[in-house]
Amino acid sequence: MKRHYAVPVILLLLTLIYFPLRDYGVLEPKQLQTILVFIALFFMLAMEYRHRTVVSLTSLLILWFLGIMKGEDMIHYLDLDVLGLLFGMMVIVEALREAGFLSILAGALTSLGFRKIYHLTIALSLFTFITSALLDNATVMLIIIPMTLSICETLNLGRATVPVLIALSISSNLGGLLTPIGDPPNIMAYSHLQISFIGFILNIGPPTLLIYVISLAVIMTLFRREMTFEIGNKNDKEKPKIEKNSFLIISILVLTLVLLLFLLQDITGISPSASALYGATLLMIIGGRRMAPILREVNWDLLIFLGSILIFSGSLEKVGILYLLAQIISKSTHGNPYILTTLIAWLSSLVSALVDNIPYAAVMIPVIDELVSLTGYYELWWVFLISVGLGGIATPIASVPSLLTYSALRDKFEFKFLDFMKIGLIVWIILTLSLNLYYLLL
Amino acid sequence: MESLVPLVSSHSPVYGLLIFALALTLSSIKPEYKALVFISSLAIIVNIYSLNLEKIFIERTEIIKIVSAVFGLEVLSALLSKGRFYELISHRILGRARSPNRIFIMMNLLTALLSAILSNVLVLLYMVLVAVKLAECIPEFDPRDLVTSLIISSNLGSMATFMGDISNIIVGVNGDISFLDFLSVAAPISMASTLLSLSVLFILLRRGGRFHCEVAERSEIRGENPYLIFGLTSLILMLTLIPFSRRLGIDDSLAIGITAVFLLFLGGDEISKVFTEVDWPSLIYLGALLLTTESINLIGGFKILFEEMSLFRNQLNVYFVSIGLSMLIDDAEAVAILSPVLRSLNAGRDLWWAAIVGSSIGSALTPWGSIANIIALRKLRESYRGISILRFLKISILANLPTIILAYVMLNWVSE
Repeated sequence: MKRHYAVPVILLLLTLIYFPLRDYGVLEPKQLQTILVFIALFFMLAMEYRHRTVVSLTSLLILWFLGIMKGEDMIHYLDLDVLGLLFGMMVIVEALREAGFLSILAGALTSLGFRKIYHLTIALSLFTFITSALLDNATVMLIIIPMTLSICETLNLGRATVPVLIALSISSNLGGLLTPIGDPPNIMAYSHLQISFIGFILNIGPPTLLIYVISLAVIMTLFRREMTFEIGNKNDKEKPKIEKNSFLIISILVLTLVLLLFLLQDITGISPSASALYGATLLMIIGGRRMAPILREVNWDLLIFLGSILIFSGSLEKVGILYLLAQIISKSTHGNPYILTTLIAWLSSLVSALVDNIPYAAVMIPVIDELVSLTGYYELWWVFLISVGLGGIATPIASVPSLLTYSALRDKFEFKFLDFMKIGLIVWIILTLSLNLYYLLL
Repeated sequence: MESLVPLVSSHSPVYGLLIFALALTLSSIKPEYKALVFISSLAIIVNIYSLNLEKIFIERTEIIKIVSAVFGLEVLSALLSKGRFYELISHRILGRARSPNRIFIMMNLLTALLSAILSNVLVLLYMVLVAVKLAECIPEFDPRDLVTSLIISSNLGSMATFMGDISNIIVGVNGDISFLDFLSVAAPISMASTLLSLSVLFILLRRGGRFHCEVAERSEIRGENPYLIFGLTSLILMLTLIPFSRRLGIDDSLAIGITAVFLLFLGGDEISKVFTEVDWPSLIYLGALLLTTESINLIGGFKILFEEMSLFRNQLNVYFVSIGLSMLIDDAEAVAILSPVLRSLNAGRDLWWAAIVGSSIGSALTPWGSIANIIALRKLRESYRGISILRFLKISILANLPTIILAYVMLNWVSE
């Protein structure tokens, strides 16, 4: 009941502090309004005041009424590539689930004979970490989450599924850091840096691997009770039953084709979103009557929520808040590599924890370039890229893997936004601290 | 316009038209796959002609406005449906049923009225259930003719307001026709047409006798959730606020969507969850349909289809083309095809009105003229017995022929 009173009070307070802050004159009115609406949005999401998509759409409408975002700006920041990729992969994954592929995969993994939950967690997390390094994180998580849920259901894990899924979300976020193609900020920096593929991995790989190991250790410690549950006895009862059907074969073929297109992106020139949409369209045409209910099963609510969060992040870029941040960093550090490392590590991960990391990376890449040329401290690139990736762990809205994991946990276990944030923040602080220390000691 | 086609494609627009025709045929045969069919056709057309969807979105803001309005109506329908509003109405009708003639008039008028402000599909679905319930109550009662008349009344009634039908919203946004314009022009035509067709239907289908139907306690349906009160309040609020939206500089269609979002936000935690009950595939279908027609227009498809574009400068021609198209395909699809053509001709209001009135009458003429017709007839077949196409056409043509003439006369009068 508390939230019903707390949220209106906070909203009122935010409205009231606007006037003195505006008169203070540090920020322009539009920048101030955007920050306050953003705080309100974040607060309402954290308190689960209303349905999350309704909250995000209402906040966008407020930005529209305030004249901060116009209709065309919203479409510009909507990022149809991200949404198209998600929609396409959702359709393909739903078809795979309908065809029974995920159950078969889950059954096969279950029969491997994991005795304790941490065995299962490590195995799945490693798989997620490696695949996320090669494929889009959203794609990986869309396949991994339902598969993991299916495994945990088979093994009757109940709420012990929570740490497994959280570990996977962290692994996906970190796996994306490992290669130049794993994450959008990496792709952007890679094209800017003109470094070889292997050179990029050799630079970013060691700290990422170290942070990944630390993250697993943190999860194991936080959920030490769940991690030691015995699951061995249940494995033998569940043997995967493979029922071959044409829809299953078609779905697997389409998934293989799409994954192939992802890997051959440089040669074909087809973007991942187009590949996923082609795959989904192909399935819709071939799949016939089995595809109509699948389209209804697509998580439309999540797509709209993500779209509105992307627009919101865009608004912070549009009013110049991200640019302002970059300016502050370059002015306040005076080129000292120690201060720079610490500031970039914490600030970048904090900003990425709150907003989409793509606009932030787009704004910061020229700033980092400038700072590197001023100080000659080339490692700043890796500090920046890893910290941007780490931010994605902290909150449910910070990255697509976190959002997908939070959605699954919420639907399955009524997991709260704040519950996710509590764990996310602990892991985030430890990992950012590790990153900071790694580069300071280096 | 060329700027929207970044790579000038060497492909003939005929391929696009063929894909579009195939999509229309498939969606008419299997309306439950309509979203799937149009997403696929859009993806293929965009791929073949290398179209830039983002640019189409930005340059054709009408698409977002239309989807926004339909989203608002979907929210309203979801609220009322969750509040068991339609069940309450059905209950009232059944409770008052005494004679076939009285129930015939009451149900037709109510269907027309509700269709003017709510989703035709939901209104017709519940009315079909009432008709079937009547048949269960009175074994000698055959609900098939009643359902046919309800379909006609629903289509004619939906003509009355901006939010009465998706086709109205499409034409309203493209032709810049406001909510109040609809009330002053389309509503009188709709009322006259409904009353005329109802008179013909009454003469054709009237029956004697008296009956009584046992119904459940009203309290069983009413009062256990907040959705009904909130849904009805939202409906009244929307109908009151939307006429003033233009004064605030907000388009009517956007106002419907915006009001819906704010209502969900203000309604409380439980009410806001109605968001998930919105029929998203229908909205996606609409977006994909509009994007497909815009794409076809961009590649010059409609120029080939309607070789004599000047044909569309005449109100009578637009009226009959609109009737003809809506008889063959869903009325929303018919006006989605006509809208880019009329827009490129800078059509006047008279032509847009002809398109609206024509599409509403056309959709009442055939069993496949609107998705609501198809779904209602399917429900009838599942819960009772199907009606033959010939029987439907016989009734609908007889009831609508005088309406076609009357509506055209009124259109002319309004235009002058």
